[in-house]
Amino acid sequence: MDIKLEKINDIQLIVLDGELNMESTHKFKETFKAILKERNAKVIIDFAKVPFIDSSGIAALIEVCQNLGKVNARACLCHVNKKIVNVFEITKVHKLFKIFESHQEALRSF
Amino acid sequence: MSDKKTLEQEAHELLGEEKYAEAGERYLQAAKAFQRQDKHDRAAICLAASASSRALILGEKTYHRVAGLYEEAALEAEACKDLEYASMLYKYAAVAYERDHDNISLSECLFKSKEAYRRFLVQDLFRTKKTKENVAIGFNLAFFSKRIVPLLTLTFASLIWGHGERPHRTVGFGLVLILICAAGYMLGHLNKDGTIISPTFAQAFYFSFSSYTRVGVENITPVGGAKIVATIQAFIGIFTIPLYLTGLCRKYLRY
Repeated sequence: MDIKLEKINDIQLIVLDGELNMESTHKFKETFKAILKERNAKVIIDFAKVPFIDSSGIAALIEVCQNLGKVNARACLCHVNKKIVNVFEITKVHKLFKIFESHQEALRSF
Repeated sequence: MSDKKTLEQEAHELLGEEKYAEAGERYLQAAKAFQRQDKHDRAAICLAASASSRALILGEKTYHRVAGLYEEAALEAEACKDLEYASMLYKYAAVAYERDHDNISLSECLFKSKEAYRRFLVQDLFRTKKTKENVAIGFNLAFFSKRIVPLLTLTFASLIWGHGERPHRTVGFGLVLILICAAGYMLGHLNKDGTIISPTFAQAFYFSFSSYTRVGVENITPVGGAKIVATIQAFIGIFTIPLYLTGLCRKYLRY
């Protein structure tokens, strides 16, 4: 999985490219280590190029969002494809995340 | 590992083809494998997916299996300390039990859901790191309204009537309050038939009981500080006695 970091004003945009599974969760969690040191960070995780997520990916996503919450940071997901939304719904984790259609909508939420 | 990944991927594909029973079975196999490896977080997710897949089977006659899987998923989520997720899964289990008219399990799951959320708020409170901004502001209104108020409300609801699922707790709460107030009356004085007395335990208990239930005793009245205790006790009694009746009726009407 490739992970790109971009900044839009004071908001951190994390663009994921590839499957979020057992092999990529370590790299995914590592990406957030620096962000977790910031206080009140605002994070958008872009799922446009994520074709599949498995239980380890979901567990990592829950963990990262909870850790961000502990440092008063706010995170949301955007461009999540229908297949992944279905996975979130079937595993009943969809209420744990804020999901938006686009960057603009996500940006407005902060 | 690749086996488990394949099972989950297979399950996702089967869901896309609307083969819910097969998808549920694949998720369950994956969950069992994760349980054997003590990977509770992944087991919880797969069990929840298995339950949801089964719930989608058209014409399903019973939801008992679905509810059981959600409950098992909630237990796994509790085991890995993901209490917010556990609370949600217990709620889904309760809904599935309700569809199956299993009201005892419904009540149990509703109680566990609220308790899991209460414990999540406690956990969240102690794990939240203090930021410079928080310290500078001193009192953070958002933090207070989002965490402290729900935590206090849930703790009080748990203590006083077990979130509506344990009405007998109201009786216990009432008895404890009556005893505490009786001890308070014994430290002060009461007016009995126009004479100021230091009440015995029996007199204090009798007066405390009548204040709480608002029955009222004509020949005994509070004096001095005892008036404040009696007022607070009567005020609590006004709310807790109807709460007991509501909890009891709520349970009775379900069965």
